[in-house]
Parts: sequence; structure tokens; C-alpha cells
Amino acid sequence: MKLLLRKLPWLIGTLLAVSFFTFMLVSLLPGDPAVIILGAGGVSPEAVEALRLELGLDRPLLVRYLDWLGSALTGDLGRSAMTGQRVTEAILTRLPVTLQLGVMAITIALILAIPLAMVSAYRAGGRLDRLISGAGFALMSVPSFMAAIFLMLIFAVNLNWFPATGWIPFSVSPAANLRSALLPAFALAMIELALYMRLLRTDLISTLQQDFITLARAKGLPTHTIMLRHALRPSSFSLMTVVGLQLGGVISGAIIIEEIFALPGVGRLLYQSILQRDLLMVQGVVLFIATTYVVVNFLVDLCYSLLDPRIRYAH
Amino acid sequence: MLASARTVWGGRAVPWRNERAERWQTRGWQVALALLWMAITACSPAPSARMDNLPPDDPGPPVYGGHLRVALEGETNNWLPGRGSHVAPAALTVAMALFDPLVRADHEGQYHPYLAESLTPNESFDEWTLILRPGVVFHDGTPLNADALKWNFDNLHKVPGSVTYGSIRDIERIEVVDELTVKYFLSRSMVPFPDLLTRAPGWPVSPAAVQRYGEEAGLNPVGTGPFELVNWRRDDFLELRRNENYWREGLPYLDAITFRPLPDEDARLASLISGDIDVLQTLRQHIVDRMRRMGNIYLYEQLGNSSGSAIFNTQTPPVDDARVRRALALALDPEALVEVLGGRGISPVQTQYFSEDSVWYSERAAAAWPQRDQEAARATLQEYINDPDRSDGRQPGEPVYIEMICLPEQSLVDLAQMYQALWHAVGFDVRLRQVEQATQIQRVISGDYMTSCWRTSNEMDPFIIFNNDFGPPDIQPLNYTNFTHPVIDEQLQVLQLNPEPSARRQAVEQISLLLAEQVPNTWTGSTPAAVASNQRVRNLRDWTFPDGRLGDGMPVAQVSWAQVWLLDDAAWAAEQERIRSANQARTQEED
Repeated sequence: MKLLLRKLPWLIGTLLAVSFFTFMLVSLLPGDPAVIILGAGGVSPEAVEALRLELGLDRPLLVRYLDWLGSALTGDLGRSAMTGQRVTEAILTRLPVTLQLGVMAITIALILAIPLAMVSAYRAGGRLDRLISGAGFALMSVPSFMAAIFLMLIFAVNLNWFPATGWIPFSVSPAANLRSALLPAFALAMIELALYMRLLRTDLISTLQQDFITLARAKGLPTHTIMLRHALRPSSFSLMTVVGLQLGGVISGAIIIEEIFALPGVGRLLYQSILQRDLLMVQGVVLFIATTYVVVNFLVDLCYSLLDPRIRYAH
Repeated sequence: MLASARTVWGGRAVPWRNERAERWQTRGWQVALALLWMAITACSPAPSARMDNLPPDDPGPPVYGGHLRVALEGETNNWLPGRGSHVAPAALTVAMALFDPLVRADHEGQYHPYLAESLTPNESFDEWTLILRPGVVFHDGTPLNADALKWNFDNLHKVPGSVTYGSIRDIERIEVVDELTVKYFLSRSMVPFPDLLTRAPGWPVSPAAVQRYGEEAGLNPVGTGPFELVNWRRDDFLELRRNENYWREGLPYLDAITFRPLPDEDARLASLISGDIDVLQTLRQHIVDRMRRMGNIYLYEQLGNSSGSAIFNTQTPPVDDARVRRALALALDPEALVEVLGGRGISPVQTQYFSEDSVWYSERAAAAWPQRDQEAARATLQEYINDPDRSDGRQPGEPVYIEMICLPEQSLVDLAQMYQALWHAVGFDVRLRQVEQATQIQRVISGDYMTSCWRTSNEMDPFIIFNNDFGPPDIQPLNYTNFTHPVIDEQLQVLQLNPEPSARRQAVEQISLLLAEQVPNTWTGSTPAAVASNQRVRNLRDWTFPDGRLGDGMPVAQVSWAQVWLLDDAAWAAEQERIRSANQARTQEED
């Protein structure tokens, strides 16, 4: 509880700083949002002026920020001037898509990364390790949009196993939902997969050199028992930390994937809002992503302290 | 000392490990090869020849029923006319399902009442009487009458902040004459007034619905169109169903349409190939090119008037001097500019405000447009450079400095660099400045620029286009080049007041010839608007008026959904049989 109380002011301070910088960053971008909304064909000085007044863009920046912050604290992130939609509602409607995508991507990445890392670490330096490591580096260097298009061409266009684009909600049809989510989740997982694999492999190699592993071997325990029960658990500490952090960052990672596969998630909402210079929507979504990041980080910090007594005592 | 992990666990002491490893390695290579093969197949180029994928001249008998899935490049921010950005083709095509325009253009570019029963001007063309069809109701069952039209005009369009406010500035007010009749009062005479009613100001929405939904009205469009809204999940889909009370007897044919915004061009095409959608729309040349080489689809193309351009601020030295503008035009290689944009073989080089498909296109103006001639460009530029009274205030002999602003999009960056190279080759000193879109618009409308990459022209009536682009800058905010000329003023009078088509065509030609001489802007290529569908979808283009007159097709990929149909399984089986027989017959003939 003491730790919680000590960290809470930092958490609030970070969120305030994030909200302030987001607001300033978006507001200080060159160009007038009223001009964007009206477009080149509809611009006249009177129309621009009228719209600026309607959007409250004539008021000082700080006043606008404090107004927005006051509403944000009550959960009201405002209403988009472009679409008329409530920002909070827009985010909450799209959150399940991004969350499902993120969870599926991380699960797929873990399912693939753990055995590959074990095989790789088990024969560290061998041909298979080199092959897996090489493939891992190759995956890390493939941009996610390329992976997405590649997967789409092979599995949707050529083989017709999955839909190329679109999203079916789980409530409509669980099977169709999984089918529509699998390709984008794979595309997203490919980025994470290589990272997890490299991380776990390094920790596993280190663990496999410990005395207790030699002891287990000397006791005649089968290989799979030693790898799964004795080596994997102590080696997955860093992996779990990274997975926790990645869960917070999955929203930002999903921006391109959601755009390519036309998924109605938070990432796509952010991308479209930036293109349309929808200030309130961009501010709201960035604040939401930042809050998720900060909160997850905070929880990981707490877990760290709980799991490792040295960190707790250091405080 | 502990041995390394490899020494302890690796090695050859356990034979099964090696067998398994070898088996895995062999399988790994097999999988890798299979993946490589699939990738090569997927990425291999399509056949280079143009396929015969033009839609049939006779689409066959209409079929009722079916659910059409249409993919678009985007969607609007708001469906309320006057509030939403209905200028984008994607939004326009959906609007054609939800709303009906009061007036529409036929295949010869002439305007005729559509949702309206009649539209009649007074002798001086500054008062127009519009009579509505009786019995037309909005999707919510409320009647379309004169009061509803007036309410739309007063509350959605003639209000500051409306995106249509600028376009209807010539309409002073609307007065209700009787239940179905209104009178439009204009601030000046205007023959092409009906053109305004083909667009958002002419798409009535239900006043009752707008009042009922309040701030959410833009999310719940209630028009008189052939389809009504069922559900809209922004950035995901817009689901429409047949309007059972549609005013056109026997229409629409389809039961439902789902529009899906798929902004990624490749993903949209992939969705058509994989069968996730039935119809797609695009304005990108490279996608049109790919679709031209695809079989099993029908491809509809229509050239638009809108073209990439470089506009000059004719009040800023040195581009205030026609010699400099002409030298800049003579230096350009339009084919190369089109190629940079990926439009070779797709977008013909534009030479005037109207594409080759337009009824207003002029062969004379095309011939008069400055053709690439670097020697002539150098000579014309030199004339300006040596002029002791040159407008930029520099000394004779000093180089001419040109600044061009453009957006930081990759294709436009390439385009701007091509402009720079071509102009530099004849002796101009060219600087490029990348600016964000809002800044570019703001700088152009405030006249704070010399040259800018831009899009010029559209599908409106020539009077509206030329009046916007070359009307007096003090009262015409859309005259971005600030170019005016007595010849244009004179011909605008003809376009404004003379309803005779031949006289109007001649006026357009005169203006186009003058622009070829004065060059307030240069051109790249016309915009190809294309719609592709699988072969079950019929009649995407040839819509008709209630009296059977042929409509204007699909300008900027804008489809009239009321008259589109989808072959059912029986009709599709018969059609496939017909295609097979035709192919066999052709093969036999070729043999």
C-alpha cells in the first residue's frame, strides 16, 4: 500500500503531462482545423470565421486546455467537430476490436515463441538455432504493413481461407469473428514473435547453465520435464514483463494493421482522426493510449516489486 | 566448472535427437519452399494484356432481390447535407443511395428535374419555380413538400458554418408558393442554376428527423433515396435496406446494400478478388491498370474533369507575367508528369478544364495548349530576363526564382521534383516547399504563394467552374490564381444568361483558348474514376430518368444504386453457360 501511495502522485503527474503535451502538440500543428473541415471548395473567410467561433478556436489555448481537462476528468472527452460523435463513446465502441486483436496477437506470438526459443536455446549455436535466430531477425526487419499484405495475398486472395478485410463481431458469430481476426492478429504477432523469442532464448541459455539444471540432469529427469518445469519458469521473468508492456502498446501497434485489414478498432480511429485533423478525437485517443500505457507500466512495476523482494526492499 | 549448455545437452550422444532434427530440417525446407512458391504465385504480375472485361452492352432483364457489398475508399464525416464533406466520391456514391437529387444531368450534360417534377426560370433567370412530385415521402414517412425544402435551405445550407454556404451564395432565399411549389430567388441571373440542385443543396432530408435526432442527425440520414439506413458503424460498414415507399415504381431492384470503407487500395482489390465484396470504387491509376488486366470482373471507367495541376498566383511576380507562365508551361513534359503519378496509359494528358469524355471538351483548345518545346521556353524566359522592367524587380540578366508549395505525400513529392527538374532544365531557379494540407489551403486562399500543386476543375457546369476560378477575386474567394480577363468576363455573361447549348459550348471554347494563351495553371492528367464488380452485378452505369432518358453514367465513380441488380443463382448459372458458349465459339473461330 505504501508503494502504491508513493507511486500514485507520479502516475497522476505523468498523465497530466501527457494530456498537456498531447493537447499542445495537436493544437499547435500548422493549419486551421476550420479550413480542413470546410475543404478547399467550401472556404470563404466568413464561413471559416463562423466555424472557428463554433469550435471555440478563438479562445486562448490554455483556457481551451483547462476546459477540456475539466471535462476529461469526468470521463467526457468532448464531441468530435468532424463527426459529431462523442469521443469516449467512439473509443469504447472500438476498444473490444483492438483488445481482441492485441490479446490474440500476443497469444499467437507466445505460442510460437516459447517452443521456438526452447528449441533454439536447447541447441544454442547449432544449425537449428542459427536458422531460428536468422528467421527471427528476418521477421523483426519485415515492416508490419508488408507482412499484412503478404499474408492477405497468400491466405485471402490465393488460398481463400480467410476474408481479406472486415470484421465480424464475436456476438454475431464466434467462428466468423475468429476467422476475420486471425490474419490481422498473425500480422501483428509477427512483430512480437521475434522479440519474445530472442528474449526468452537468451534467458533460457543463461538458465540452462545454472547448477540446478545440472542437478536435474544428474537425477535423470527427462528433457521435456527439465525444459518445461525447471528452465522455462525462471527464464520467463523478463518475457512476462515485456508482454505486460506490449499489451499496453498494442493499440499503437495496431494502427497500420487495422487500417490495412479495415478493422474498426482504436488504431484506425486514431489514424483517420489524424488525417481529418479531428483535434478532439486525436487528443482523446492519444490520452487513452497514454493512460493505458502508464497504468500497465504502473501495474508491471507493482508486480515486479511483489515478485522480486530485492526491488521491494530497495524501496 | 560447468560445461556449456551445448556441451551438456547438445552433441551426438542421443541418436533420436539427430533424426528428429533432420526430419524437422527437411520439413522446414519443405514448408519454406511451399511458402516461397505461394508468395511467388501471389506476387507474380498479372497478364500484361488488357482483358476483355468491359460490361455487356445489354445487361439483360432486371432481377429483384439480393444483397450487394460495396467497398469504397472512405466515407463522410457526417451524412447531413450541408454538414458532411460530400465532395469526396466515396461519400457521393453512398449519398446516391440515401438521397435523391432534385435535378440530374443526362448523358448530354443537360439538366432535367428528377425528384422535382419541374423547374422553370423566369425570363431573366433570376427566379426559378420548382414543383415537387406529389406523394413522395422521406424514409420516416413524413412528406416531401415545399415547407421541407425551405426548411432544408434555411437550416442546413444558408447558415454560416455550412460546407455548402459558399456554393449557394447566389441564392438569396426560398419562398413557399403552395404545398408542392417553391420559388428560388437569386441575387443575379443564372442559367446554370439547376446544377446547384444536383448536389448537396438539392438533396432534401426530413426536417422532422433532423429535429428529432438533434446533434446525432448526421449519424442518422433520412432522405427520399432508394435505400434507407439500417445501421452505421463508422469506419466499418453502412447497412442500407430497400425503401419500400420509393417514389419510382418498381425500384430499387436490390434488397440491401452494405457499403464498407476500405481505404487501402490493395486491400480493396484483394477483397474483390477473394469475394468479400461485390463492387469496388477507385480513383487510383495503378489500380485501374491492374484491373484492366483482370478477368472475371466488369470494369467501368469514366474520365473526370478534375486534374492535377500547378496553379500560379498571377498577382505575385514573376508569375504575374504571362511570358513566365508560358515559359513554365512550354518546359513541361506532361507525359512524364502523368507517368510519375503512375497514370501512363490510364490518364490522358489534360489540356483544358474538361476531359476528353466531356461534352465541353474542345479540340481547338487542346491544339492551342503549349506543347513541350524547351527552346521556345528558354527564348520566352530570356525575353523576360532581359526585360529592364521585369516584374520581379531584379536586374536584367538575373535568374528567375520560382517557389512551389506542395503536400508531403510521396507521389506529390515525386511530382514536385519532376516540375523542379523540368523547369530547372530551361533556366528557372526553382525551390520546393513541402507544407501540410491545411497550411497549403490557407496559403492559397490568402494569396500567400507563388506556385502550388493543386487539383483543378470538377464536374460542375462551366459557368460555375469558370466563375469560381476566374471571377473578381474581391468577391470570388475561390479564384485562387487571381486571374481575370475581359474575354472571360464577356464569355461568362454568355454562360450565365444564354441557355442555348451551342452558344454555351462556344463560350467555353473561347475561355479555354484564352487560358491556353495566358496559362494561369498547367495540367497533368485527367482523373480516371473506375468501378469494378464481379460479373453477377449488373447495370452499374446506365441509369435512366423516369421518362427513359439516359442519365450521365457514373461521374467520379458515383453509381445510381436504384437501377442496379444482382443476378440470382439461376440467372447466374444461365449467364455462366452463355459466357462459356461464347468463349468456346470464339476459340473455335480463332482455331
